[in-house]
Amino acid sequence: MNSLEVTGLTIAFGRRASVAVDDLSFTLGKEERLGIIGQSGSGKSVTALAMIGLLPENAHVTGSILLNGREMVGRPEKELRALRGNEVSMIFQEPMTALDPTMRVGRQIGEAMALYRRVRRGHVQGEVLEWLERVGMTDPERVARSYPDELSGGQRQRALVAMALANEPGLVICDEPTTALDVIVQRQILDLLDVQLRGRASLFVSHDLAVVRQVCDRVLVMLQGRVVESGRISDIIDDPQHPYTRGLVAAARIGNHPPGTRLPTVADFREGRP
Amino acid sequence: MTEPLLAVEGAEVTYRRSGRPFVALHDVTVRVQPGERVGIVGGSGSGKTTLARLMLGLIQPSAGTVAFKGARVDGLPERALGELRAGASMVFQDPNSSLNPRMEVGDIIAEPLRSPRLRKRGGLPAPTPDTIAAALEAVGLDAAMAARFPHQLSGGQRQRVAIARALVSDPEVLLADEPVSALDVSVRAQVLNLLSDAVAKRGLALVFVSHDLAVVRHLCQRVVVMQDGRVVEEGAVEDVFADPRHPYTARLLAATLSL
Repeated sequence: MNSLEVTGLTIAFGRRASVAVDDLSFTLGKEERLGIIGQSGSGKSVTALAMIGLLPENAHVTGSILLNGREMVGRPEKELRALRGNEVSMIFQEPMTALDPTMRVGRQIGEAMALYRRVRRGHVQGEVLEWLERVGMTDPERVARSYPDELSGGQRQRALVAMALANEPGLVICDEPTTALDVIVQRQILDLLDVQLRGRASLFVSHDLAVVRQVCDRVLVMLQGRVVESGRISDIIDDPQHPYTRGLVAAARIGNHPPGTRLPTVADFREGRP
Repeated sequence: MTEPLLAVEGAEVTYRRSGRPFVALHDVTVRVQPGERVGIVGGSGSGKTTLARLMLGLIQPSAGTVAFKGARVDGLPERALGELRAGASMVFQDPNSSLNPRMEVGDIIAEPLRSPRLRKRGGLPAPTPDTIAAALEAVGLDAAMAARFPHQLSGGQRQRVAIARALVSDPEVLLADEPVSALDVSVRAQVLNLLSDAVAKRGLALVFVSHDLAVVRHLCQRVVVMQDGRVVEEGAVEDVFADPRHPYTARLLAATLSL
């Protein structure tokens, strides 16, 4: 059985029903990693939220999302809550807003664990420290005692990774998990994800092909709610077919252009100039 | 050598962090010549943003000096900073927080032109609709955008408005703090083209703060590498990138992702 089977997924918002995702279909195997590339407004983050049942109430969803064979579309919130954490979890872009600023980090991770196991928080203390160590914290005890604002951006993102993985979900959704980080920390988090996502399915949403290539083998390119191209990421980078993808690849290759010269933009390709 | 436009000499900056002093910059010396394009690179916490804010007189050094066109600007009250305010503009990382959400785009761009301090310098155009239209068109935006509010624009358009505002007062140096880090790869190229055009056309000096070495290499002539509040390496962009001397520079280069 696949981890995800998405068929004809269409998501619209509000009374005027502006369509954010239009007839999207894909499958994700048990240990597969799939990237979704697109710019803001392409529908990539809405797609990610749909996979974990976190769309806002005014979202109108049709089509089918099978998570481990069970239909997510139309499932009541109470049942979705039981799946989150255990079967699917999410790593968000901005750890400062995803973590509760008033609660110590260790307690937050413990809460996420205890919630799904119906045990007291105190019973998972040892496991919290173990997870903090597994995500590369050098001083897990100090980190567990800290509030989010006392940690660096990289440490906060590591804490979020620990929280998302603590219940060993089969599917992890990553929404721009390194966008707010500097290059060195970004590399560390990507290496960490590469190790920790082994044996799980993951969906990795980003605007940056270079980042997705570090973790995923396969990628969907989204534009205005539709998939315009999909396939192995190395093939797409070497030989992009759609004008938008060609623009993305060219715009990302900043080092190929002599300093100070004009860089190609996505718009150049969509107007069919080069 | 001509007199530097901006000169930070032996500067130390100390913040108080939960009651304890924290030294954000240690003995930093950086000079920017007129028309020169300098990149300041480093990871988060390296002090690069603190250095940019120091150059703009937004924070005070606890030791050392900051000078603009040969005149000290550290330790002066805001009302004595006329020359610096007129001659140096800043583009911030996040246009969501650097543009006033209650102001129309036209008013945001016109605001520097209304400043009595800048007007005193003379030579500034009046904040007329024509001036604003020209400023918008110079950054590749439609003149009709003047009547919109920031939330009605995309991230790339907002950053262009911030650049239009920075350029409208005809400064001598533009400081940009991670101006493309919050933008999609797809709009990053547009904003970089715009910045390099504006700087070349007007002969502006540029101080470009970033952790993205590929971008710095594209825009700048000289690079200053910072780590833990210290300058660890400095030189011509091509030399530093081809042959990094400091291990931290080498780490930054190795971590940079490309296609």
